[in-house]
Amino acid sequence: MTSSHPRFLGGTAGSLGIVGIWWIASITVFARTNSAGQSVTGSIPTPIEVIQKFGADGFEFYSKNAAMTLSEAAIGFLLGNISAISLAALALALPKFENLATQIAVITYCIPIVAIGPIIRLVLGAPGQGQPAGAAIALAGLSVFFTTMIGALTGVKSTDQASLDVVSVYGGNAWHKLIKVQLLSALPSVFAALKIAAPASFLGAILGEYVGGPDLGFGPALVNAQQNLEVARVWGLALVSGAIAGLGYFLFGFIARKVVPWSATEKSNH
Amino acid sequence: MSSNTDATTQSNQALGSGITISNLSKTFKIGKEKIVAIDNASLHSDRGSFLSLLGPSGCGKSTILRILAGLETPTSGFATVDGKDPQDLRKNHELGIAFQDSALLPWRSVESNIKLPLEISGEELDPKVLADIIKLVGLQGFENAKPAQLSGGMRQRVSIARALIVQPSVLLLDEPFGALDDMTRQRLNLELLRIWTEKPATTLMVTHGISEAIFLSDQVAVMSARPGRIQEIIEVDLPRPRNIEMMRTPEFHSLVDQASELLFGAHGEIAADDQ
Repeated sequence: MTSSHPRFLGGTAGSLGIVGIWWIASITVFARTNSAGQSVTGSIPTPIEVIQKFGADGFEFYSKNAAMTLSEAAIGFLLGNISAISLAALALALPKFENLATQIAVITYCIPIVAIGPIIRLVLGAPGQGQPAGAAIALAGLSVFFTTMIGALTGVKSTDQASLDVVSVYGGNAWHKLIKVQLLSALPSVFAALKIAAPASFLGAILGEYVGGPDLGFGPALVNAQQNLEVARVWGLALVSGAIAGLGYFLFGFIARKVVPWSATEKSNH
Repeated sequence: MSSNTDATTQSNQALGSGITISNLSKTFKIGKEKIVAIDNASLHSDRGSFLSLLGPSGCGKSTILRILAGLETPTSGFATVDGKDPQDLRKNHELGIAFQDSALLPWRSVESNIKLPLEISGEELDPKVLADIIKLVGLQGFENAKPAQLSGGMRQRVSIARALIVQPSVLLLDEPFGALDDMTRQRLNLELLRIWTEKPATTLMVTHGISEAIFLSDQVAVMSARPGRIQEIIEVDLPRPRNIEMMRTPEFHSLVDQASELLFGAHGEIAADDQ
């Protein structure tokens, strides 16, 4: 408890420090001079420039692109997690199937996601105007699949053996063990996985947009900004998408604390 | 005082009532090595009596308890309570158990943890019985607390209440207070004595505390390690109801000495490890 205050201060100091270094770097190391011999910023814009560009582009520019990417990420998050948890459930119900299931999960994790994107684009085709890109949804789903499935499997397996013994001594069968103990004791680990999956699905969706070809979203917005040499806009988009991904992380951390409050207190008491 | 009963004559008593352990052996395989956890153990205790297995760690005392709970199967021999084998006892919801680790479900409240066995057996819960048991173990006012909010001693009380809610025909206690500090342990032993006097059940307790074994039990089976064997059964004929003053009597001390000698040899190193 005593650490919460200094940690908050430390986090703020760290963020300010990074902004400071960025600022100094943008006007020193990365600075260029124009023909008149004046110092102007080059490959790295200053924080002020980024904020000015952010204001000039306006809220609507960001909100309509964010809405598209978020909806792709959300659909991918949902589908990816549902399939991950179903596969984990299947692996637990049929132990013979577990190795295969884990292999599938590992493969989804090991294949470079940028290689899968174009394949999915070919299979699903380009999205219609204002439609979410199938490739973005697929990559968002793939980005969460591994962590959630492994989280669910280890969660169920790490169940306290003594609790399972108690259930079986009182006459419980495998079903009772699953319902009364294993599912609930897996929740902290599932939520820990979802916490990582939330930002991963958003970043997966942006990557999917690069190849998926939607006309809206952070992916195409970044591509356009780069092609038009709008460096400040690229930075603005990068910072906003980072903030959205981070929000996803904290949102699931918050939900986890509400839904599985025992997971935080349990460790300190054993 | 005590009798140096030959273990095999014990098993010849009626199979019908109490705990019967007959020529029980258990071998574990670890890799290619075979480890004999229990070697031909025989024991009998009467219905409603308190039996303790006392011995050093690794003497197989917990394995005997786990066989009786149906959590392990014996390599040979058998264990029954009132003539029923562990699988039947489990099916009929006749077992109550408390482990060293309270094994409470952290997301459930005290009351909900105590109710767990009834949810499994599908029996109707009598709210009066629940209230009585909570009062008996001294947890009034903590019904809605979560395990993480309780001390170690209170968690063990919950675990014992959970064992009693099924009104078991046999109560299995696996070093129930083994992880607690001495003072809490002493106090909970007195509590256990009171609880057991109010709700008598055939009890098997596994412990490595000499004086708590003598203080609580009608019979103490002293075991030796590697391979786990029952060395001797000490009949504790201290009168019931027992109280803490009895721990200061010469009779009590001579029983403790006898058990210590069996455990440590007759070199006078009476290092009763729960004192």
